This record gives sequence, C-alpha cells and structure tokens, in this order.
Amino acid sequence: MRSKYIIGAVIIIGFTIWAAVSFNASLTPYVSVEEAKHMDKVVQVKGERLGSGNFDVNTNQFKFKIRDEKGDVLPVVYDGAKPGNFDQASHVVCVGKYENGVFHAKELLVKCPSKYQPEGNNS
Amino acid sequence: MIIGITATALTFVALMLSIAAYYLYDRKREPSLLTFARVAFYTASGLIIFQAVLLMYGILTHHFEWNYVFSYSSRSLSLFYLISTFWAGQEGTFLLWLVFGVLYGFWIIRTRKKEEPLVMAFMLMVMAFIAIILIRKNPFDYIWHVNPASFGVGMVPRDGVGLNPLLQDPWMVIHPPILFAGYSATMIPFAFAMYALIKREYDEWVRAVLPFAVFAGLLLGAGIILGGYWSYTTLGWGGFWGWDPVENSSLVPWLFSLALIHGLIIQLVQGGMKKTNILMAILTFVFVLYASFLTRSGILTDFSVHSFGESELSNYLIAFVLFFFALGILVYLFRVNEVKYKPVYSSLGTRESFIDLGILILVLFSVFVFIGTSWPIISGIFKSKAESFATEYYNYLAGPGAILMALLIALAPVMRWKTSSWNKLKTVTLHSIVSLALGAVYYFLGVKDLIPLLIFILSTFVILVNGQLVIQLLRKKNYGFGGYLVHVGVGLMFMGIVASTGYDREVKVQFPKDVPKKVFGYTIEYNGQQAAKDGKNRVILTVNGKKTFAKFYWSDYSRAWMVGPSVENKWSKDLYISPIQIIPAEQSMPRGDELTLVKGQKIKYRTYTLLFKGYDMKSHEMGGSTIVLKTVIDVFDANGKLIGEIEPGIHMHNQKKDMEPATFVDGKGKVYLKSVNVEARTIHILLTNPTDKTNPMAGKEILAAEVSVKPFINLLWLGTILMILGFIVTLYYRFQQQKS
Repeated sequence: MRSKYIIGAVIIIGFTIWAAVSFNASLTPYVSVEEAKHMDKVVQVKGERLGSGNFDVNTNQFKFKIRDEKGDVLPVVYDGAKPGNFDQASHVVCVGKYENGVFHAKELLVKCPSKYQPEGNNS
Repeated sequence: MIIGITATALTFVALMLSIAAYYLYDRKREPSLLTFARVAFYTASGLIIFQAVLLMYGILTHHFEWNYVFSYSSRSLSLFYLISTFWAGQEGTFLLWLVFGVLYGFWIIRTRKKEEPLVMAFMLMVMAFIAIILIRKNPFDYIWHVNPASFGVGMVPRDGVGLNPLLQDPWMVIHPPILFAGYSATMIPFAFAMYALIKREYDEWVRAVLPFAVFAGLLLGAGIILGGYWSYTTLGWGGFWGWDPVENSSLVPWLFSLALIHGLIIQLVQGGMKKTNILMAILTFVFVLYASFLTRSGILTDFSVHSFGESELSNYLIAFVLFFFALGILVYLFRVNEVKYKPVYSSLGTRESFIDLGILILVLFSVFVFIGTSWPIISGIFKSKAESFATEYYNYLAGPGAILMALLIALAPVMRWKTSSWNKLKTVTLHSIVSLALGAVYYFLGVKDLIPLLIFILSTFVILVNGQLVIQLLRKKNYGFGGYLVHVGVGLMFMGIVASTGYDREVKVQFPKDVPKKVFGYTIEYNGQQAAKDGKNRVILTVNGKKTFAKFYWSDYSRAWMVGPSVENKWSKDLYISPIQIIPAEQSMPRGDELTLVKGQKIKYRTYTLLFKGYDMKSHEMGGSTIVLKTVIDVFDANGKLIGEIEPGIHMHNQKKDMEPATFVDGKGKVYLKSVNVEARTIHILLTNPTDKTNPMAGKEILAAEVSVKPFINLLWLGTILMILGFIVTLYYRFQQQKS
C-alpha cells in the first residue's frame, strides 16, 4: 500500500527533474545578430533575407545573408542545397552557431508570407 | 446565403431549447418535457444535416459566391478532393463536429435511456457552443460580406482559390473526419462525468461510459496514425511524427483517453479511482478543446510547420476552452468531497497497482508534452520574449517514458486483480529469458545504445506476454483479448519507432542529371522532371535500375515549392528520397573564363582567336516543345589558321534548359553557351580551364535530395494495424459487457 505511493512519488519527481533538465538542454534562444556573434552556443537568429544567396557546387554549401531588425547583417553558411522555397521567403530563421566570422546553420526555417497577408506586411 | 445562415441560427435555438427541456425533465420528470427535448434535438439534427448537405451541394456545384467554397475549392478538383474540401477549413470542420454530435446524440437516445437527459444536455451544450462559432464564421457567408474590398455585391467569382495541394492526398481525405469523429466523441465521456457528478452516481456511470471511452480512444488513435502516415508519405520531411504543436495537441487528449480507459477498468473491477476517473474524463475533453484553440487561433504560427488560418476566432475559442474547463472543474470541486473514497486497498503486487503506475506515466508524459507545446504561450506571458526549444526535448522524455510503460504493459497483465501475486511473475520467466536473449541479438545487430536497447528488450517482452494472452483467450473464444492485442501493437510500434528513427541513416546528396551515384549501397540516378496532369510535377529517379518517382512542383496556391518523397518499401527497411531543390544547369556552372562574343568580330582568347559566326539554323527544326539552339564559333590558331569549329548550345524542353557544351579544340576544356542576346548580336560563353579537374556536376541540372534508409519501419505500421484491430475487438467486447 505505502510502497505504491512511494514508487509513484519517485516516478513523479524523477520524471519532473528529467523533464526540466531535458527542457533546459533543448532551449535554443532567439537572439539578435549582435548577440549571436558573442554567444558560444546554438541559437536561433531570425532575419530578413538579403538576395538569393548562392550555392557552391564545389564545396556543397549554400551561402547567403540575413539582416535583423536592428539592421545588422549576418553571413550564413549552410551545408547543403538551397532550401526549396528560399526565394519566396521574406524571412529566414537560422538555427546554429557563430564561428570564425560566419554563422554555421544546421537548420533553416524559411518563413513564407502567409497568403492572407497583404504584400509588404510580413512581420 | 440567407437559408444556410438562418439554418445555423435556428440550430442554435433548437439546441438551447432541447438543453432547457432536458434539464427540466431531469428535475420534474414530466414526459411531455422529454418529448419536447427530443423533438428539439431532432429539429436541430435535421438542420445540421441540411447544412451539411447544403455545403456539400455548394462545393460540388461550385457556388463560388460562398466564401468557403471560393477559399477551399476550384473547378479543377476531382470529385474525390471536392468532397474533402468540406473539411479543409475551420467552418467545415466545426460543421463536421456537429454532424458527429448528431450521430452520437441518436446513439445515446437509443441506448442510454437512463442517463439520456443530462448526458444529452451536456453534449448539446458543447454543440450549441460550436453553433455560436459557426454563426460568427458561417460556411454560407457570401464572399462580398467577408471581403467587400475585392468583391462587389452579387459578383460570382469564376473559379475558386483551390485546395492546398498537400491536402490533395487520399490519406488527407479520411484523416480529418476520423480525427474529428474522435474529438467529437470525447464529449460523451465528459457528459457522462457531469452526469455522474450531478446525479451523485459515482459508480454506475462507469459501466455505461467505458465503451464510449474506448470508442473515443479508437478514433483519436486512428486519426493520429493516419495523420502520421500522411506526413511520412506526402510531406517528405522524412518522418511520421515531428512533435509539432498540431500533432502534440492531438496526442495529449489521446493519451488521456487511454489513461481514462484503464482507470475505468480498475473502477469496474474493484471500485477504486472514482475521483480520478471523473477528472480524467473532464480533462480529456478539455484537452480536445485546447487543441482546437491551439490549431485554429493562429497563436502558434511562428512555431509550427503547419499553416494556420486567421485568428479572428481566438476569443471565441478561448471562451470555449475556459467555459467547459470552468464548468467541469467547478462541478467537480463542488462534489468531489462527498465521493466516497474507496482506496485501492491492495498492495503493490496487484494488477491495479501496475495499471495505476501506467496511468501515472501516461498522465505525466501528457502533461509535459502539453507544457512543451504551450511553452511559446506560457513564456510569452511570463517572459519578455517568447522562447522556443528544439523538439529533442520530447525525445528525451519519450525514451524513459517508453521504458517504464513497456515494463508495466508487460507485467500488469500477468498480475492478479486485488490480491498480491508476486509469484505470478514466475510464469513469465521464459518470456523474459527469451527477451534478454533476443536483446543480445539486437545488440550484435547494431542496437548498442542503452535506452534503445532497453526499449527493444522490453517491447519484445510486451509482445511475448501479451501475445500469449491473446492466443489463450482466442482459443477460449473470449473477446477480452482486444486489450492485449492493443498492447502487442504498442510493443511493435515502440520497436518500429526506435528502429526507424534512432537507427536511420540519412545523407544529403546532389544528383547531377543522368549520372548514377552510390548511396547506402543503392545506385540512384536522377533522370529529369516530368510534367503531371494535376500540376504535381514529378522527379524521375532510377533506383537499382528500377524507375521511381518523387514530387517537386510549384504551387500557386501556397506560392511555394512543394515536395513529395519517393518511398521504396522493402520488408526490412524503407529507402526514402525526398527532393530538396532542383538547381538549374546555369546555376551549377564550373569555373572558367567568361567571354562575350559579338557576331562577326574576332576576339583573342589565350593563343587562339575566336569568331562567332552565327546560329546553326538547322537546330531549330526539332518540332514540338523541344528547341535546340546552337551557335557556331570558328577557332583560329596563333597564325590565323582555322583549326576548328565549335558549337556550344542550349537544349530547351518544356521550358527546362539543358546545357549542350562543346569540347574545345584542344580536346580538354568545355565550352558552355551561357546566354544569348539576339538584338545585340552577342553571346556569352564560358570556357573551362583544361587544367582544372572537371566537376561531374558542372553544367548539369542537379537534384539535391535527402536520402535516408529507415530500418524496420514496417514494424510500426504492423503495430498500428494490430492496435486498431485490438481497439475494435475491445469496443465490441465492452459494448457486449455493457448490455449484460
């Protein structure tokens, strides 16, 4: 009888601690370009897409630039081909780490303007 | 359309009248009140069916003056997808919810006379709320009312916007109705819980509600599985589950419904769990409402891959969630103290203790998924900036959760109800030895990480123990085997999920056109694109000599490139190829010297002199949609002697450009025709440096794709089928039991 509650309590506490630890480990803060340059961890930077970027067949890398709300420009390198809807995106969210002058993105989320929003109003 | 909108408004009135009459009948027991309540419900049902038929009629006959028809369908859709337009938008799904409500209402009236008044009153209350939302956002609204700026009164658009191409998929035709049937079904246990509280019948309601809880669990589970299968075979992001808010918000009520089913079984057998069961029935439904709020309010647009609609309904949806949450919790708190506490008077070594712990884990896991999914909202309230986190969070939780669940699912069925029976565990010694032995096999096959290995071993244990029970009960022709069959399915699903997501191999590859490449032992070749009738253009691939197709197409509807994977299903693994991008030939140029040549003018290049003479006119006469353009360039050596003629060209087929480079006179370098300016009589060419190593991809159209091998994903699909079958058997079994 009592042992059941003890086991239950252990499960609840254990699971909660484990969840909290996992949660902290998975947090990837949204930061500005300026902050990203000074952070030594994986972060997300959202910025306006500048140009169409270019794909280098020889290195198999896609390079482009984004500009955040403060106007800071961030060069981004992504290992892989240009995402399908890159040219349609107004903004790009880059998940990765800033190293040696460039932001190495391991994941790109392209934000397409919603079809309900009028042009030029994509926040 | 005034008839449609009036029908919606009258539906609300009829539902309210029925609720009032049912409530009064419950107090006064006057037969005329019951008759009135039923007639009002039948009237509402007639109106709801009328609206459903009307909407379907409007879709099929292209009444584009209705905003809903205009927004989600078009003339080009086939009948199949026109039908699914019904549930492509919010108004349609709410109407669908009402239609299911009607069916469930008739079901209750026919089979549960005793509980009918209050159960119906609460179910109809939910439906009345939906009717309010439908009045606010009506499927029969004229387009000029919704969008007066673009459409004049009486103006009928010639064609609709069309259906999102991702939804034009056979799985998407059946996934939403099943999931909505499940969502809608959770209001039955909710209504029964309210009945139990108000009538102070904390025990009798269990027998009545259990089959309905199984029914809701079956539909929610089937809906989620179909959604996962759809995203695996259609979306092309490589998985069946992405811990996306939309998926999570349907997972939480499903897990709660599973917890509820097990809690009800405990109460049925030995009387415990009275309070918890009522609370879980209420919360299952509230989580469904919360899901509809999350997915329809647009609040998570920034955090999800799904696209959401407008947010104009937010306030209604918040009110919807809060109203029923408050109603349920208040009535619960009002009564909970008088519920006679019947402790689960048994020691740890009983089946109910094990099931209890299983319920605890289901609930805990659900709560943490709920917190994670809501985190953008929670952190938005308490912190200055909404936070986001990687979906690994859920995977971290799922591992230990699955281990504990598997352990309990394997052991609980062995234990005896009510009396401690640790010695019963000896009966599964053989199963555990076999599982451990197989564990060693898994280890040598490559499952070398602790958590996956534990899940594999315990899942095997689950399958053996529960599988044996299924066989034993089947021999006795006892239909109680359904639950154990579900457990076997769950065991297989655990193994399939861990194998296919934990031990998949995945690589991003560039395939130059018509150049075979070896990937994971497969010879894969990209052979260009092929136009398709429905506009979903295909990518032709050859895998080990066999032709297969993926999709890569532009969607005007979504204003985006859409992809669809090629899935080669083999018994032990899937080869999954998902296009990322097609890089046109002119963007994959090699490095070299670029020159602009003017017609008739000589130009120096290294030791040579080049002269652009003109176009090769014969090349135009290819006919059809193919155009070949060739240029003629004479090459002279240092002494001015003509040493050769080169003809770099462009090959155009269906607006797809292919390079036709010429080999330079030295026999090494290549000459590409980059662009042509007819008016200025110039051409732009690129000459590669013969000393450069030629990149095989240069100057070719390139398909960038993600190739992955997903081992034993068939275990997952097999598991889901067994699980659904088990649910259906359980449903039959529990309804039989309810009758007796």
